[in-house]
Amino acid sequence: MPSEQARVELAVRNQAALDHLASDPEKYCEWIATIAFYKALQVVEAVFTHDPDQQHGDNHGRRHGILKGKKCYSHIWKYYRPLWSASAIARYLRAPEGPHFSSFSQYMAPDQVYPLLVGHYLHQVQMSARQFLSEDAQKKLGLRVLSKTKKAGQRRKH
Amino acid sequence: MACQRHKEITAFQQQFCELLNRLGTWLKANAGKVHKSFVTVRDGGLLFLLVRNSVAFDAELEDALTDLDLATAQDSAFDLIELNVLALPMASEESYRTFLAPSFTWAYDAE
Repeated sequence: MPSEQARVELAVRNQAALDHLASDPEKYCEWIATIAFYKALQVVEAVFTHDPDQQHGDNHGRRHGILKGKKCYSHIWKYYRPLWSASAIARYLRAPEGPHFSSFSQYMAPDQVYPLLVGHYLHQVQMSARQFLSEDAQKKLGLRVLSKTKKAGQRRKH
Repeated sequence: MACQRHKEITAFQQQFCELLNRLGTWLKANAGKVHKSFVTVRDGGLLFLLVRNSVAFDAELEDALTDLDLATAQDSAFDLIELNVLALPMASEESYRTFLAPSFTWAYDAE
């Protein structure tokens, strides 16, 4: 099973791709949605490496079940689910030209894709996840590091 | 062994019926935003699939769906059921049908 470090390294690579694609959201909005979701997935898998009950999500269904089923992860799920949803639409919903949906940019305007999916939903996934991550992982993800005392306090709230 | 299996199937059927009621209540509360709704199978569990009556992303509806999703997942009355929820923008039937499993799809009629 990949370590926390391996998961975080993949997440950082995803972020580099997002930063690159952000220069042309009109052209790459589906890819921004897809990679934002897969970065969130790597962050979640990094969290699971610290969970003695759940070492690996295995597949989307099992990963979703863990995030939804354990109350301590509810806040992560609240922001992860819209990313999963947007990426599913970006990847799988195909339609001919017509009066209804025919491209992802109709669903989400290109100038909204990065601020909403990366700046809001993905950011919130990471902020919710950081209490479960090592300080090194938080630093690599560019997050303001939560001290051990604060992490313990936040976990008690759950 | 067969008796145990029968009990599990009966329990699942009861939970499934209760789930349909729960989803129906949610649909009535959000009827103005939903064009079509289905319960189908995807990723090894059930999927409550909505086709909205507009195309643009609707953050409010996404939040409401997430709340429904969490409430269902954390309710012991549905401990035998794995459910995901997904709202598609208004799309042609040909397009949204690709999300529906031919083997099991239940078209929801909130009425």
